[in-house]
Amino acid sequence: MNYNFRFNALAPYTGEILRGIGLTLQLTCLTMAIALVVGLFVALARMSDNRLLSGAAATYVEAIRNTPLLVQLFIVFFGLPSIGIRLDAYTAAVIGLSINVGAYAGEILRAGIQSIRPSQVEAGRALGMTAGQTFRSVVLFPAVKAIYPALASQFVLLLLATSVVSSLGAGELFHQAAFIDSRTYRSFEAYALITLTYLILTLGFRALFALVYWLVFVRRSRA
Amino acid sequence: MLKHLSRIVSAVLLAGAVTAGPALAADLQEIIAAGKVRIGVPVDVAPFGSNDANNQPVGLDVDMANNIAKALGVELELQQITGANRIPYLATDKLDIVIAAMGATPERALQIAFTSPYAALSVGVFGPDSIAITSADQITSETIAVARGTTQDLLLTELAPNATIQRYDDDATAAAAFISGQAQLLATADIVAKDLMEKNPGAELKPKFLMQFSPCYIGIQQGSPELLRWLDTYIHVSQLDGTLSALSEKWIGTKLPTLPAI
Repeated sequence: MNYNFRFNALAPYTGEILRGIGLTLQLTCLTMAIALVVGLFVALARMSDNRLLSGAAATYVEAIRNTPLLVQLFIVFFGLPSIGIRLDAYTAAVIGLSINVGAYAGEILRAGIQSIRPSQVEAGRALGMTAGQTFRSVVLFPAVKAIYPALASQFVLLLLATSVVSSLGAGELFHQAAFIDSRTYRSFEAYALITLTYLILTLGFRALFALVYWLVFVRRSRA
Repeated sequence: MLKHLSRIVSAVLLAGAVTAGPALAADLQEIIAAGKVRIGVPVDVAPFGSNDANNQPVGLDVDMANNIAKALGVELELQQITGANRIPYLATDKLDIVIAAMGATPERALQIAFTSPYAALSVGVFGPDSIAITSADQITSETIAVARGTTQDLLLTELAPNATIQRYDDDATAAAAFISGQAQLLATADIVAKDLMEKNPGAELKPKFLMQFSPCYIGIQQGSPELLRWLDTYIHVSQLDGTLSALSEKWIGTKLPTLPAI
């Protein structure tokens, strides 16, 4: 190992790193919100009795889950302008990531909805609950509890996947590290710093999600 | 098991701490003894380095690399690289020599060593006739695509601090951004712009303004004085016997102007 580590070379670029973290978080949260809406429609479409609708949803999910994210992003950013749709890097990133995560979220939501058996609803009604109470306590609550861990994992995977949109020129965390590398030539230091940053972010979110799970699902069901 | 692992890790870290020093590059004798030289050439900067129809690397820099390996009498191990990673490849000892249409700057010379120039180009900003600008300070709302970390990126950042500069991973992606209309202007070398126009009918890459006459230098790792001296000698002799000018005519279409030694 013949390399002088100089982390202080990164100090003048604190602003870039902070901007990168901000944009990464913004991209992740916005994409997750859109992907959940997309996912809900996909899940409902896939369970629909309309063969055309369920077939279209299944095609979408399989096409997205079996092609690389980078290719999907390049089609949105570099491909769509050929048919007159020009999106800036940030918008293209949000749309590309939402299309991608929407497919995964759709499958998670479908599994959650299907985990509730019709007999459970009947049991709820038999106990004298109203239709609203049955939906809230017997359908929605257990379904959300069942899919919560998978969605939390999907959120963390999305946060890591945002690094791919650096190739579109969107200035998120990885893009900033590559920029700093191109100015300081301290490759190891720049990438080590963001490795640690990604790790802190993901561990932070995992802890937050675990806390929310405990507060909402564990404590409440004990009470 | 865990105890062993932590012992190994701390031993590795300790070894790193003790031997950390200037990078020990392979100097001339080591390269000759090894019988091979590792040279990096551009993958995406025609006519300096790109892939032909058979996916084989071709270009001025590729010819240079072949000539140098032949003159050294060793085998050539060619590696295709991009503008953004050519210095990291040297700094992390993945290559001995980089021949990648690279300009010299004092900042880069802190990390790597430069030989005398072997070719020349001008870097500038290019775009369609409809955009009427003639200098960096006239850029207002236009987006400029550029390959990250290249000479043109460094110059543009300095000359047009308020412009919207979109930095891409390499020259090919920056060119794709311009051709797909994601950027209105492209910062690149005059020779590259000309080549892009020939290959993409419809792409309008007229010179808007030139930022710098920029000779191309070969880069090597620091700490290889003998290799540096040998390369300078090789370039000097190739300039005198017309080899360099012939290469320039073959790939760029112009004779090589007289270039001062470094």
